[in-house]
Amino acid sequence: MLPIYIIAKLTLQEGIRKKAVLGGVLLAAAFLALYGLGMFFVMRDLEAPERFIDPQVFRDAVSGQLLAAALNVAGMLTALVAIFTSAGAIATEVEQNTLHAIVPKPLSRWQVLVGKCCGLGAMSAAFAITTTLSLLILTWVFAGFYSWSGLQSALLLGLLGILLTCVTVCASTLLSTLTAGVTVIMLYGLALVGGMVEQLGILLANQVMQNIGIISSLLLPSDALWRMAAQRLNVQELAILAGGGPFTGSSQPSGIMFIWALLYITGAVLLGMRAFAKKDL
Amino acid sequence: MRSLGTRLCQTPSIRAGVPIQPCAAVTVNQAPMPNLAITTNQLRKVYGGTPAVASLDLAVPTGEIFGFLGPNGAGKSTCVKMLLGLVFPTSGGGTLLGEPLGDRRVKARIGFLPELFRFHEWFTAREFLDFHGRLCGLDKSRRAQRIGDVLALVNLERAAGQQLRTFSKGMLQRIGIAQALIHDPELVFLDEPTSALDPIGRRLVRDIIRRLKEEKKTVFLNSHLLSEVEAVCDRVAIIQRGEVVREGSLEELLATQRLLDVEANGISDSVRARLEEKWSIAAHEGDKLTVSLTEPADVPHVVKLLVDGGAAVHQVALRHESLEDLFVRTVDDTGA
Repeated sequence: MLPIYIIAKLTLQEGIRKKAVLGGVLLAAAFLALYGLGMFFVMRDLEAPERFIDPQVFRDAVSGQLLAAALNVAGMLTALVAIFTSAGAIATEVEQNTLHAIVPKPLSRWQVLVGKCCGLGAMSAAFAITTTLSLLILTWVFAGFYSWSGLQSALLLGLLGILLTCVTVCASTLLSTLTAGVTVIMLYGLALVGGMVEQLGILLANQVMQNIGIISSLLLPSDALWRMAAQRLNVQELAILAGGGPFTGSSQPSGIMFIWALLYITGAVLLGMRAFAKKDL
Repeated sequence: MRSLGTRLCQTPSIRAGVPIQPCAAVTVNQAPMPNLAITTNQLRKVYGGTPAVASLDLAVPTGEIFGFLGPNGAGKSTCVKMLLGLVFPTSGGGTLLGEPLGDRRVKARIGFLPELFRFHEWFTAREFLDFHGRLCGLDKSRRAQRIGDVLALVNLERAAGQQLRTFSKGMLQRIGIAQALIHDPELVFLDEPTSALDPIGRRLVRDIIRRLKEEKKTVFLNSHLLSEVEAVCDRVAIIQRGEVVREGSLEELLATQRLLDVEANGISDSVRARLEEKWSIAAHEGDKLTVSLTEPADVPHVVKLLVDGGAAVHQVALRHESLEDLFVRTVDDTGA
């Protein structure tokens, strides 16, 4: 296990120095600042409609709507950080011969790959969890809305980061840096759109549209993980109270989809290990 | 006395104009001899139908400084990568320190300086060596000791705290050598170790290689700088299209041919033709002629033939063939 830890630590140290991470952190900071500011003004100027007997319920519903939207952005930022930092994990190091001094050392190739997944996955997960917890704190400070299951949401978005990291590292063993990054981004976009189609399918009682969403989630369960994260905060129900919106959903992924996400991560790592074990460097 | 390599891998003597036969294959089915650091048996690599290495048979005894030579595109780097498990052979096999290629345990006994490498530039030299020491399984106290040793060896003690991004090319090459030696390996692969070094750096590397020899280490040196190879190697192999076309100790290879440099006026075509009936002309430009000889006793005969043919001989000098002469001759003979 020691070689995995050494490679993971190196990868984490290397990743933190990457401009993609710096860009992601700066963007996240700007996003959090905007979110906090927006929440502050909305809560200050908001007047509840008469149909709400308890104005606090309306305030929670609106803050839930905003939080659902913000969680979506946090998911996207996590995806971008995970994909951009991992796209070259193997491909770039092969192109630059960086691995030539490492692979002949007394460790197995699979340990190099798993170490990279651990290091980059930890970084993406930390980014997602920090961003999500920051959103929850801002929502609590400015809107007074909080949910103790927020930690679960943060962990689920962390898992989203790990999922996309492992998929991208796997792609990086098979494809060039650019192709790996573009491929996973397209897959992520496909899952995102598929998730929306599924929600619309439920609203319209269209089974074909629902099936498209399920298939897209099977192709990459990233959108399913985001919906689970939102569900843990109950923000979707609250957002529906405020009239619904683009970030609300009519149905939630089942627990099987969570297990599928875990299997997907395992499968991606195993496929990456297999491909890297046979790769000429 | 014939060298071990020659006994294991009979390479026919090469004379000008005589086609070179590939080195005879080493039988791998036999148990590897305990004193062999490297053996390969018909090691072959094909990329998209084109063989990068046709069939490599090598036997490198332990404790030897072995030079691996060949023109660009001959397959040297691919061979080294196959030996180190960076590239997988299409067919064939081999052993390192008695274990099959790719064996993880044997990796702890091997050091490697890659040719076109790029290290993590944000490391300081000390952090970089510590990282590689950890990968090699050295404990903390051993790492601390070895880092000091190898930094001193490559003369980078003062740069220990500097980030690698501030290093010159030569310093990077030296720290690369240091990482290859951090775990005190028995077998060291050096791929173009002096390509970025100034004369002082080259001398330093020569001294390091000689020191490794004194410590009974085996060094596999892949270099285009033939003078460096000639200065340190015990034995060399020249490969062409991924096959060994000549192999032997430097003593043997360079002793077989001598070159007679002649400076003379009036070397006519007929004289040259008569010379070529008995010896081969290695070079002829104006008044300068180089004749390839196998026997030093032929010198008076060459001079007599020139004088009898009307040439005014001003100067003659007999010298051993250099490795560069041998390399060029071998590559020319094998039709590069």
